[in-house]
Order: sequence, then structure tokens, then C-alpha cells
Amino acid sequence: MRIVNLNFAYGDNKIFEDLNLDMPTGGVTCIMGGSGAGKTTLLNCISRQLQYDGNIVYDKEEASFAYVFQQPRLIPSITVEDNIKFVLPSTLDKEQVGQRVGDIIDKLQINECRKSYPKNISGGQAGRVALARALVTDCDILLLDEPFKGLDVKLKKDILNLLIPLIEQKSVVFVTHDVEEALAIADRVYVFERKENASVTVKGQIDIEQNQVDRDIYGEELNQKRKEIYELLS
Amino acid sequence: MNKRKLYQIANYALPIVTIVMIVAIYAIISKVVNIELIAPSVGATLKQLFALFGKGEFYKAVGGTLLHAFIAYAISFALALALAILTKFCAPLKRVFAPIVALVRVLPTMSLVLLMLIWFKSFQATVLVAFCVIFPMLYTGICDAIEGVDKDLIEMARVYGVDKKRLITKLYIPQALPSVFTSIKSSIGLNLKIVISAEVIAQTAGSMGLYMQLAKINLDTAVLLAWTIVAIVIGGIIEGIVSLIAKKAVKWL
Repeated sequence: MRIVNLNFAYGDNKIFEDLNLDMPTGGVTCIMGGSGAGKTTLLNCISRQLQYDGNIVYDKEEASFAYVFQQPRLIPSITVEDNIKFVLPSTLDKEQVGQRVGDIIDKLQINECRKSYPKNISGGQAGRVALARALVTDCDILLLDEPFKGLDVKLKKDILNLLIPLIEQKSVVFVTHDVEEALAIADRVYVFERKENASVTVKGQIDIEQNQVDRDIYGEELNQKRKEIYELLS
Repeated sequence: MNKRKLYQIANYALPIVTIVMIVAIYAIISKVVNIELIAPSVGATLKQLFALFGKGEFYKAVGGTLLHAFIAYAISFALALALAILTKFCAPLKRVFAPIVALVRVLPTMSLVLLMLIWFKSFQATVLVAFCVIFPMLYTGICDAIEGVDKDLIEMARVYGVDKKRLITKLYIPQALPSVFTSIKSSIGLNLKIVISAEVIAQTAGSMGLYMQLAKINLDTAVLLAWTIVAIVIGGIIEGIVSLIAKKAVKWL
């Protein structure tokens, strides 16, 4: 996926001015940067929620999206299982729906809360349900906007381990503030910067070539990348 | 006895205590005034109330009033729902209806009743008056309920390309339902009140309002109070049923 000369403003507040990014097809692109650096706005442009000028070239002409927002955004009036079913196309038959929902519930280990209403589940479970809802769609492009915000380190690690095999071959754009999350999952990291009254600039790009499944995030190579990312963020 | 149990008992007992206190205060006033014509005793009122139960016309009048209330409310609700949905999908229509709704809302009920009586028969006037009071309340309430549906959830559904039917049945209706029920709860009792008021003035045949008016003309205050108690009980039952349905319908809250 390529972003070519992207221009976007909220009224007079210019966010992107001729922004260009190249995101690896079937890989994970991490967007990092300070608050207000346009990370979520970029996801909203990619998912066509915002009207922009310029071009976003998708891997497929009719690319489908799944989006995990900062908040889980679960519908409170239906059960966890129905929240996951909610995004599936109505053209699928009952058996296919049951199969796909059952599979993703098993993979993300949310079986115990499948019949619960969102208000009765924990924050960690809600995060996994939001991921399940995104992954059940078999989308081409997965957009993740700080999906692990507010989760403890262990839970974050557990969910990342569950997520990695599920996003193979998917083009993922992952917004995060957490360098460790980026190192665990990214194939490419872009660090955004936005100075006062200016548009977003790309402060740096870091490529990580190790496979996510057997990645040694405390090895020499990734320690060097960690240092580079921290330098770009500071 | 634990605190929870005590709280549960208090929950049921306190409204009964309030009712008993109101009756006791009225009994004292009645005793002090000591004129049956102005403030009949509790005993005389209850005697008239039980006497009503034995008369066929009582059931006919209650049925008649309930029918008027039902017709007025059903028309108000159906039209309010249809217009609220229509204005959601066609925003300029909201501006078209705004002055009409505002006008109907501020129209004095009494002038409305009198005008309706000039233009229509008493039955139609009764229903139309209740409609004119209840419709703007329901319309505004349902519009607000639809507008109040969580924008983040709508945005989520849009990103995932959820189809309109599912969007309405799984998102809009359940999300709007609690606010719609709040509007129903606050208007259904008022509907009965307005219907009875209109019946009193219009002297609608076979209605509670007519019998209240007759009691007033005959200076039969005990009978008037007995009919008032009947109206309060019916209103309470209707509101109770609505609360029960609301509780079942939005059990996820």
C-alpha cells in the first residue's frame, strides 16, 4: 500500500501536506510519534472515513478494511458473539458464520465470555473481542489504533502472541506509542513528528527484517533498532 | 436481617407508607372541614368507589376512556416514530416540521379543546386534543433518541461496511430504545390525564370524563373522588406495565 502526496486539514489546521509513505504488502507498518502527530488521522484517511486530497494506492482495487479502535467500541445491547457476527457480510450462510465466529473465538481465547454482554467482561477481554471482530472479516487491510492501550504488560504480551500468527499475509497499519509493541510486530516503523502550526513530517523510517514468530526482541539487532526508535521519538 | 434485605423491604414499603400518609392527611382535613360536599370522608369515598364496581356503566366508561387514550397514543406514537425516522434520513424535513411541532407544543390545552369541539364531534375532539399534546413530546423524544445513538459505533459499522438492515436492527433500534422508553414513560400517564380532561369538557359519551362532570354537576364530591382514584389506579397500572416492558426490552443496560 502506498500513500502518495496525501493532503488533509481539519479546517485551517493542516495535518498532512504531500505526505508519502510506502507500506509493505502483507506486512506490518507501525506508525509512531507524539500525541497529535496525525497517527489516527492517517488511519481514518486510509479507511476512507475522511475526505482527503492525494492518493492512497491499496493492494487491491476493492480493498476491505477492519479497524481496531483505541476503545473497543462494542455494541452494549448484544452479546460478545453477536458483536463479532455484526461485521460479517449478510451474504454468508448461518453455517459459515458459525464456523468463522467459532474459530476466531477459539483462537483469541474468549470462549468463556462469548454469551456475555460487553458490560460484564474485563478490559482485556473487550480488547480481544475487538480484535476478534476485526480478524473474523478476513479483511485485506487491518488498521490497529493503539489496541493495547491500558492493558498490563503480561496481557499485552499474551494478546500480541495470539495476534502475530493471525495477521500473517495481511497488510497491517499499527499505531502505537509503545516501542516494545512496535519491535515485537513491525516490519517497518515510521516515526511522525508535528511541530506547532506545521503539518506532519516523517522523522524517520526503520525496517525490521526478522520474522515476527521467532523474533528475538532483546537480541543485538533489535536492541540497535530500539535505540534508533527512541532517538527518533525523543 | 442483612442490609440488602432491609433495603429491598424499604424499597417496596416506602411508597406504601407515602400513600398511607397522604390518605391520613386527607382524612384529617376532611375531619377538620367536616362538610361532605367539600371534603367527603375517606369512608364515604371508598363506599362510592365500591359502588362504582357494581355498575355496568363503570366498566363501559373505563373501557371508553381507555379506548380514547389508546387511539390517541397509538396515532401519536406511530406518526412520531415515522416522522422521526423520516427526518433522520432527510434532514431538511426536520426544519419543515419544526414550526408545526413548536406551535402544537405551545398551544394552550383549553383553547385546543374548545377549538376541537367547534370543529369536530366530542369523541374525535378528545382523541385530537390528546394527540396534539402527546405527539410533539414523543416526536422530540424519539428524534433525540435516534440522535443519541453512539456516533463511535455508527462509525465502526460504516468502516466495516455493515448493511443498512443490520445497522438498524442491531444498532439503531437497541441503542435508541432506552430513550424511547423514557419518552413513553413520561408521556403515557399524561396521555390518560389529557384524555380525561378533554372528555370532561367535551362531555364525551361513555367515558370517565363524562361521569366526573356529572358528579361535579350533582355536587357529588365523593363520586368525583372515587372516579379520580380509578383514574390514578389505571394510570399507575399503565405506567407499571410500560416499566416492566422497558425492563425486559433493555435488559442489557
